[in-house]
Amino acid sequence: MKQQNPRDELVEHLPALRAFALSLTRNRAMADDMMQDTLLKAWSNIDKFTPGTNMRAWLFTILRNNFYSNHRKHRREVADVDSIFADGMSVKPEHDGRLQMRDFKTAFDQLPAEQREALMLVGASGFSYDEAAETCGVATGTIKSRVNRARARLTELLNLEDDGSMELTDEVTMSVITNSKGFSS
Amino acid sequence: MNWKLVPDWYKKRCGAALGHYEKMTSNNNHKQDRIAHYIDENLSKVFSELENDEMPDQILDLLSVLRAQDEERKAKKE
Repeated sequence: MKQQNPRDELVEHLPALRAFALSLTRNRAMADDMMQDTLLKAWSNIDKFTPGTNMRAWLFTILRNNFYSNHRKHRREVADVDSIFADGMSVKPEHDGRLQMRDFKTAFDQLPAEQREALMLVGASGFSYDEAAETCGVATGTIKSRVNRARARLTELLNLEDDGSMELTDEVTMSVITNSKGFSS
Repeated sequence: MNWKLVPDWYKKRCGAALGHYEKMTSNNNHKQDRIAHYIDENLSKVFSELENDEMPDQILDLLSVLRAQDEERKAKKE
């Protein structure tokens, strides 16, 4: 069987890589600069990638190292934030679902970078705890603890302990469901 | 402790308390699972939105340059 050219595989991961960059930096310009650096590094070092291993994890590791070395140099993450997660929020929310998503993004935005990345890797990108730990260069236990702390913080910020706060359905839809139940009985 | 000597009313009280505790723990675990699921579901939506964000021209341009360089190298080798 002919093996896929690793550079073609690399291109397939670019949208996910950019999503990870945006979630780390929360700033489009900074994320795109990091993407360029990562793309250049990965392309020129493609022979160092072991075929058959996790290309996405390899790319995320390069991008992450780039982010933290820049972050250490400049120490200006907060000043550079342009609230990427708040984009599109100037539009009046049409229903509860959108409002809740906005609240979720705002809460997520408040997490420290190390907790955001741990949650993004494990909760959204489908990385196992071990893969996430390898990507971040820490122990698996550290990733588990970061994920737990991030979830606990989000639970607190979003009042998720309160049963009603996890409803994703808006009032109009709820009233339709309630009424239709009334008709069927 | 010799349980034969423990009066029935006390055993019942302990049993009820234990049952109540187990029920509470199970409810708590269920709630924690629901919260984790809710968070992950929202995270996936956020990640997917970011993934669908249009790739900026500067990245696409860089990709074209890198591919052209590869082609050039290949052609030179041949």
